[in-house]
Amino acid sequence: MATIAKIVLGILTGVFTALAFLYLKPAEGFPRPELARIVALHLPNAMAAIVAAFVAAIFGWKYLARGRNPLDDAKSKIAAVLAAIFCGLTTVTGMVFAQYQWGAPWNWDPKQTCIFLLLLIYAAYFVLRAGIEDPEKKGATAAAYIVFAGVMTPLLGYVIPKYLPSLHPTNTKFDAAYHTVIWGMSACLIGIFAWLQNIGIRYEQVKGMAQQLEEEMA
Amino acid sequence: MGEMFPLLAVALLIWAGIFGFIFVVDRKVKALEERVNRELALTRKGEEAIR
Repeated sequence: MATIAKIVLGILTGVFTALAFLYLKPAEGFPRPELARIVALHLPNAMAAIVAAFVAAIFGWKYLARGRNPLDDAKSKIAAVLAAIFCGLTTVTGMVFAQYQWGAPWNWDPKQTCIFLLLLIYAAYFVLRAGIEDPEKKGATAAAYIVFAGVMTPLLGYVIPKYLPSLHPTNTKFDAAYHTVIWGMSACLIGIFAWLQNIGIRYEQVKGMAQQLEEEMA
Repeated sequence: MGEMFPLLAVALLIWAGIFGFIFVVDRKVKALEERVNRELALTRKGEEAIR
């Protein structure tokens, strides 16, 4: 990622954060309308989590279908770590929202229950990786599992809770300002995901090269 | 709107911290890449010289 792109990403993130605080009107219909603005960070985190989960699943599938390349496994693992982080951030921002709007940070609302299941799915992925020694077996099992997690992420995060009675508002109509900030912030978080994914891949590559160097020296 | 400024300042500080941290990690990985590449090139050169 070019340095200029990183600087632009930083500036845009700052701009959209400022817009979330200063440009968005308090959301009417909530007990604390001014704090409902956190939705401008909550939804983009959820979107970044879904993108990261798809990237992890795509590289997992690629690992299984195209020659078991260890780099594909590494790319899938890094994206899964980032998907879990964004899922965690979605949960935390959601809990802040719930504390102020519904009186308690955790209400076992269908969406909260679903994201809890999703966090468990990602936790199980890391336990699975840690539990298998043989790198090829580990890669294949983890890849199959992460494809399943990639399918479950939008299902648990969006589709299933949509059809269940929830504390989450179902008839919310965001105005143009909210749309601008939410989509802009989503683009920024997806940019941050791409940057972190790039750093992770480079680190895995350099680790492989260092190993090769050690073997050559031995 | 005025009461939002302290919160905004905190949010921007947090973002600055996050970006700063990612920048530092990025630089460290770049330095590591350069070091390993240099060492790999030297090893190959050495091997060729021996041959």
